[in-house]
Amino acid sequence: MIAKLLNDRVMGDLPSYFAFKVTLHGTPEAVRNGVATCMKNLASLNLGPEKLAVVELVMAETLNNIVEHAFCGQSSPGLVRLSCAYDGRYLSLNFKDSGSALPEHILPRPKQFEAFSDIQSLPEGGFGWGLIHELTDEVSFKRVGRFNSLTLKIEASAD
Amino acid sequence: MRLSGKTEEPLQIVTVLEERIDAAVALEFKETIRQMTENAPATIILDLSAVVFIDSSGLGAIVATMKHLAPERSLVLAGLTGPVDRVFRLTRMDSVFSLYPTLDHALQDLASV
Repeated sequence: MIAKLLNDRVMGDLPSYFAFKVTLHGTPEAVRNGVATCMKNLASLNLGPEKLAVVELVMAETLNNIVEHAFCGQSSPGLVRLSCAYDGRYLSLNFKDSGSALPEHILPRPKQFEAFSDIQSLPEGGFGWGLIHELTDEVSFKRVGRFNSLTLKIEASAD
Repeated sequence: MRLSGKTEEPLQIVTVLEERIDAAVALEFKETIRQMTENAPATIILDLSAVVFIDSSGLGAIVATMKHLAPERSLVLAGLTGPVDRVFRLTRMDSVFSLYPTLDHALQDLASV
């Protein structure tokens, strides 16, 4: 895993005053380690434990989706680059991967679950996009060449 | 995946000794708890008080466990920390499980049945 702190430097199309990048392999173990690295980097922002827990969950859900779907069927897991930037109001998370494109290049909608009447019909998955949409203020996706680029924004005020 | 189990008829208590139930351990969690509850009594309390992070894979594993145990046995959850409680609420799975703030609350309520 490669982690870089890029304070006070312009990085891609994201705001620049606090920023870092983490590159990780697309495996569940690497996701766990990558998220831990990001949370360590974010600690200095003092966003508060509640907000940090939200950010941690959003990162993990998004990376898990990439591992499960974008890299599914590939012989070896690809790389994901997570760029994180904070402009004083929004935390922007950009995920770039070289996995397969989303169908029609659009974001999956969160699944709607029927009323839970019968235990055996309860869903065991498909919660991820619902959580991501619920916990973020902006979600945008574009396919750039052979890369997926997903940007999430979370409003967060530093203490 | 470290879990500890204790049976006090008519209850079994399974305590998660890890801080995270995420995609990296979800399968292992499901398998381990399945083995531990093979001869379980009617009610199993899953004590989650040590868990500070759960993702949707971890949630899915808990739901799968409940489905596996049903209909003869029920799985109830105790000691949800803030971040774990959030995931259950946002996915509406809080309405599917019996939730207790602490293991003691669960024991008091269930042992008297």
